[in-house]
Amino acid sequence: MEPESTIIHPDPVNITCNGAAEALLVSPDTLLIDVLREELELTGTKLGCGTGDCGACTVLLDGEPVNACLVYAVECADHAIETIEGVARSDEGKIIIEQLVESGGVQCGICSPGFVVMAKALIAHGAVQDRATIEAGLAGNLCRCTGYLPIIAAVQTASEIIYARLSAAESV
Amino acid sequence: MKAEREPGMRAKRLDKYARASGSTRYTEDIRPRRMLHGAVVRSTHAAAKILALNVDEALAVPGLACVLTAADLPDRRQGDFTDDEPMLAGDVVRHVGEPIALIAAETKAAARNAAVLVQVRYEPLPDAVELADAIGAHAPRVHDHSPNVMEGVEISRGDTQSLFDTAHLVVASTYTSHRVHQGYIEPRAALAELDDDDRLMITMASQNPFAVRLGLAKLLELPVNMIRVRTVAMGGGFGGKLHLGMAPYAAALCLHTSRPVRVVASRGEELQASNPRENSIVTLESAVDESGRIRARRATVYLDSGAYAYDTPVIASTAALLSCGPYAVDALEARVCPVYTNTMPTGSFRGPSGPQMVYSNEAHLDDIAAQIGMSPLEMRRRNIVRAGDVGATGQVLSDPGAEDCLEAVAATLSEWRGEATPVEAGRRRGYGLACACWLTMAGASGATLNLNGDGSVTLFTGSSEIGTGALVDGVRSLAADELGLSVDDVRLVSGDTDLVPFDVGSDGSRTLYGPGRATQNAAAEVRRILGDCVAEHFEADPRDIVFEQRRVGVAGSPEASVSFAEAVNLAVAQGGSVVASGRFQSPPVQHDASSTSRMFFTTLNEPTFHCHGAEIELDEDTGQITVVRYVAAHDVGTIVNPAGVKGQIEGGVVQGIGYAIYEEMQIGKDGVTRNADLHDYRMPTTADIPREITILAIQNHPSASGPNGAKGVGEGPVILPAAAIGAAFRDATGLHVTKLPLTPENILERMS
Repeated sequence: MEPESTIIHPDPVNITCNGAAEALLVSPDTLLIDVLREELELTGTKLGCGTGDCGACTVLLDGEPVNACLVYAVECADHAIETIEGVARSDEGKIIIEQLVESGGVQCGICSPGFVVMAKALIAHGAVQDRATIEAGLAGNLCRCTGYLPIIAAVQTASEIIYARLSAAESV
Repeated sequence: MKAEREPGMRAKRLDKYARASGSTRYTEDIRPRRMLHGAVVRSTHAAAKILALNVDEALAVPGLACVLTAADLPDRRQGDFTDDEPMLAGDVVRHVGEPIALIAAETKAAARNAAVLVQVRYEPLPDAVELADAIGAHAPRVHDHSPNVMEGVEISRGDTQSLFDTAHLVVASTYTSHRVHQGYIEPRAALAELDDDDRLMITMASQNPFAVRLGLAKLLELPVNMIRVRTVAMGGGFGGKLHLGMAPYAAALCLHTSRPVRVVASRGEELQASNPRENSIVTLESAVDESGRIRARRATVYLDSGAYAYDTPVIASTAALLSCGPYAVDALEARVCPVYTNTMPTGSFRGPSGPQMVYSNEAHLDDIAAQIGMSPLEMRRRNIVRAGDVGATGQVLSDPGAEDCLEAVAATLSEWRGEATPVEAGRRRGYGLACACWLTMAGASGATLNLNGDGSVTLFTGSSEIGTGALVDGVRSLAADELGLSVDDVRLVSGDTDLVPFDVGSDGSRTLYGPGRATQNAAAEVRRILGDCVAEHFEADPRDIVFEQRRVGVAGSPEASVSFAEAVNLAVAQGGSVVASGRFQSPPVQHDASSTSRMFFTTLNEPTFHCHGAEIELDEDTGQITVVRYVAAHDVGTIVNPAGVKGQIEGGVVQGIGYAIYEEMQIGKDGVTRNADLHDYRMPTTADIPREITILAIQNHPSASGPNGAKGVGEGPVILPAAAIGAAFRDATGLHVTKLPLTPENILERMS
């Protein structure tokens, strides 16, 4: 095992996180998840596996879902990150969370922020019409409590609500 | 599914919103000032002498605060029931992953870097890694003090020998089962600090904080009341967080540095050095009569305990109680032995010993049915326990729901068979069902209700909220119902050894049951206090006082009532603070005490009965089984929390499907886990679940001692899927499988 770098690079890495500009002093091998959790104290992004297999650390990098445990902080220079803390304040995030809770899709909750972020990205790519699309879209997020059925139902309902509102807004 | 009585006013699930929004703090999210990061140096050998330990290079790492080895700690052992495990290995290591040294440093990176630089010189010893090898008379011993095969538990009831001698048919089957991890998404973690009185305070997700406190007291030679264990949000447990976890390491480092220390297991450590479900070897033998009735059963079970005992001696009792399944057997001889091996110590996983015992029972029953030419359903109808039959240890089953569950699933499967369309070429379809019994664990609970001047209530109870909602939804709603309040009026305090009454933990399907009954008892005392006071106020009979809609008043006299808050204030003015406690211990269960030896549990407390049915498709080329539809019938008694019951059954079924066809810890002959990450340790995803899970809640057999007649529901769902899927595979192919899991590799091997 290679020792991890403990040398901080002198030039800050500039990112936007949940809309705020941040100048980060990091090592070349500092992971995004450590920056978010330890430096920015945004602990809603959870570390479940460290190998990109559980999805608990899902965040949006310029709107696209990534595993924060697989991304180096320096790779995010001049890019925008949105974590669960940001997603939870967005209109779509609020709808997704409401549906997830009310459907029974949250038990222990450790995987929930990752599912919420992933669901937002999935829905942003277009209205989710069928179960197969949701299953494929969420297959990178592990939940050990619920058995997934309520999560799948919640994402479908959230998508319907979000697109109904969008089309209502357009017709006004 | 309908609750017999819905809680009067439904609560908004504030805690769930916080969890989903990322604002709930789990152990790893809490960082006090001046906190150090801990790391654990672990053995790379399954069995070896430690010849030398060199920490010089580790000490030179910038930011290092402390390195501890066994020489720095009290020479103590601890365990759930057998005190056999040191905190750190001193002279010998007994499994890959056994802790040898502890590091604390200013950063995570420094701690991990230092851990890598600790040099250990080993002299390998002969090992016993595989269960089948460790059982042998000449196997190397894992411990000097004990043979590998520990003194097991036994049941001997009835004249087994003569029933075998006179049997129409004797059938014997042996099954091997695999090791699986609980797979909680939050790895184990612990934060240790000194509080304002210099007491040790541990923050962690524990299913049993009182047991953690006791274990730490033993290891660290501290009085119990110098330790506080507080449970914060738990990111899944499933039995894996019943033990001390990372707490001893964080505690020792904190005591040596006088600084807060947090230790978090990596996923690799989880899969190499945790307490997963035991693999096992189960042999069942039955004496069968002409009608297909099983007259006598012999069972020999070996449970792989790994290098230390943990709770496997208790799990042995459960396995023995399941050794004849939910079937009436006139005589039983069962022997279940935990076995030491040079692997990570195993321990409780939701329904401990259940999946392999149910699989073995059901596959064995189908072996018998095949030999006498009877359908699996008819075989079960002839043997299933009915009212008045006895369980494994002679416990009389006065009202078992087993037959109702069986018939409900049989009807559903028959419907599905009727709807069947032809399968694609290269695929086969099968239907199978499985029956099981389980328990609602006995044990002590307590609860205190403290009433506030605004009419709200603080509920202090043991156990910890593991995420199922058993406390936060279930027990809180019981308190609200008793007092005529909304669930939102009741605040819950739990999981903190300084604040709440002793409790035996969130395990054994008992979290609603034990704390629920203690809470009801406390609420009855509150009703007495408030009732007497309000009755006096209105010059009424205390027996006529009712608690409804946040009011306390005289039945039939709407004008004679006060708000709940006013009632509390009246009572405070009259006699002091309104605070009441309740206790609960499950009543003893009658059984044939002479039939058991060394069993920790001798009966199935408030037994539950279950039947699952699976529709599967098999890909003949790949050996992959797909579960298409699934039906789960559970004898749950009265439902207190409908959403909780649904969540437990659906989640348990999917976890059971993981056990059946996806998951297996692959441990090499060297004791190293080959698939120590979540890529290769394959848990079910959204792509692997049935398209529907039908829940049939059988509610007409309420429990005698549970709150409102409720029974446990947490574990049952996980113990049946392997058996139901195995039966469906047999239906599709005519083949039986004696080796779990039903992974493509094992299925193809069986089909070739």
